[in-house]
Amino acid sequence: MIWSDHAAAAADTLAEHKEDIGGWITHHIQNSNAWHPFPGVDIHLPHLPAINILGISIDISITNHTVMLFIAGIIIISMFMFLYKLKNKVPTGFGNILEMMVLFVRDEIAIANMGEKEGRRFTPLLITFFFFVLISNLMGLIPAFSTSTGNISVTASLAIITFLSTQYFGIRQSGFLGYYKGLVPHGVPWWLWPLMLVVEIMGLLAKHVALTIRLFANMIAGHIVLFAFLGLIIMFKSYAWAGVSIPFGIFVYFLEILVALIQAYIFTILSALFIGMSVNPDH
Amino acid sequence: MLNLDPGMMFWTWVTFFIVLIILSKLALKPMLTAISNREDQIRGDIDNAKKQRDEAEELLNQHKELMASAESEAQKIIKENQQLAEKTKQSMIETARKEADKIIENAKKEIDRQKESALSSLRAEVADLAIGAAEKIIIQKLDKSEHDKIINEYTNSMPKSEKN
Repeated sequence: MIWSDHAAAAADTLAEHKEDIGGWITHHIQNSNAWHPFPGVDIHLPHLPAINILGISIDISITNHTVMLFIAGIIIISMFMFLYKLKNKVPTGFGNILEMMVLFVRDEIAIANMGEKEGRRFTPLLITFFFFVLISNLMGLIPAFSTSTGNISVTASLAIITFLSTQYFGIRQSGFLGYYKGLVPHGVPWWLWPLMLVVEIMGLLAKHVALTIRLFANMIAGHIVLFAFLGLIIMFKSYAWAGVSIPFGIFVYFLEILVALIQAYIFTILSALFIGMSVNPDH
Repeated sequence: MLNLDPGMMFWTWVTFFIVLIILSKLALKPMLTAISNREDQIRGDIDNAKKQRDEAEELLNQHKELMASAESEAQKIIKENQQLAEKTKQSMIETARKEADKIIENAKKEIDRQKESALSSLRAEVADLAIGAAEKIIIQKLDKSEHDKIINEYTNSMPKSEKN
């Protein structure tokens, strides 16, 4: 029973540090000022002086998730710059997969939801959304990295980009008054207009809040479940629980790969839909 | 966990827009252009191939029509020639028959003529003989012995039958 003793000792160590399983899970998914790539290794990230924008002091210190975003950006750019060879008329290997995904975003997401002309115009934005979210999602599944899309600030920022794009391109398409008039459905009696306008603007905001919460909750839920399954070993102080929690953990891991792809797809297609609705007001 | 962190949002926007700008300027623009160029080329190639196939089919049809017309032409010519040969044969046979009839007619006429002349010469001979005999009878009619003698002479002068 040396195993159970060991497990009990590990649990006791945790207890000594005044950490319960909940705290352990929260620690793993939360943003922090240090990056823990491996147990015992702490990389302390630099503190930057706060900057003032419009009188609001913003702490722009580099955090764990910021580093993950940077790495995701570097991965995406190097993927497109070094693994896709433009000279090859017929793409091979990884370039083929990349091209397939780009064409998928262009044809099935952009053009399918925004029409031929607008779809081609917004394809670069949507491809960036897709790969940014996809790579960030998948990075959370690699040991030593964490999910930046499991941080609500990141998903909110992305949804705000979509929101501002809908407003900006919508107003540019049909004019300030024309755009907000277009929000109210046709055939509504004039005396309902004030009410309908309020309802439609609330709906507009709700759509983007939902976009934020959907991605954030999906990404964080998988990680919580994964850690909870592994935490069972510590909680019950017995290695025997590994027989249950490891298979379930692996199952959740594969489920997470699926969720990462699906959420990247959903985020991109909804962004395409929202922007498409604002630039094609008649449809 | 649900608090929005302005610093995080700031860095998200910075990262996102840097990635967006670099990606769309350096990678996506040439990539999408290359892809759409390739698509256009493939579409053009397919259209060309289709057009060429249509042309080839049309040519094939023309050739088939030509072959069919040539064959019918040949058949017509053969038929005409057969008719012509038949006609020529008929007319040759007709001519030959006429010729033959004419020759037969001529031969018949010649035979008749020959017969006529033979008969007339025979008749003249017989008349001469009869006149000669009559002369002899008239010259020697005096007595019976003389008479018998003449008859015997005459009969002896006649050509002998095979029996004697």
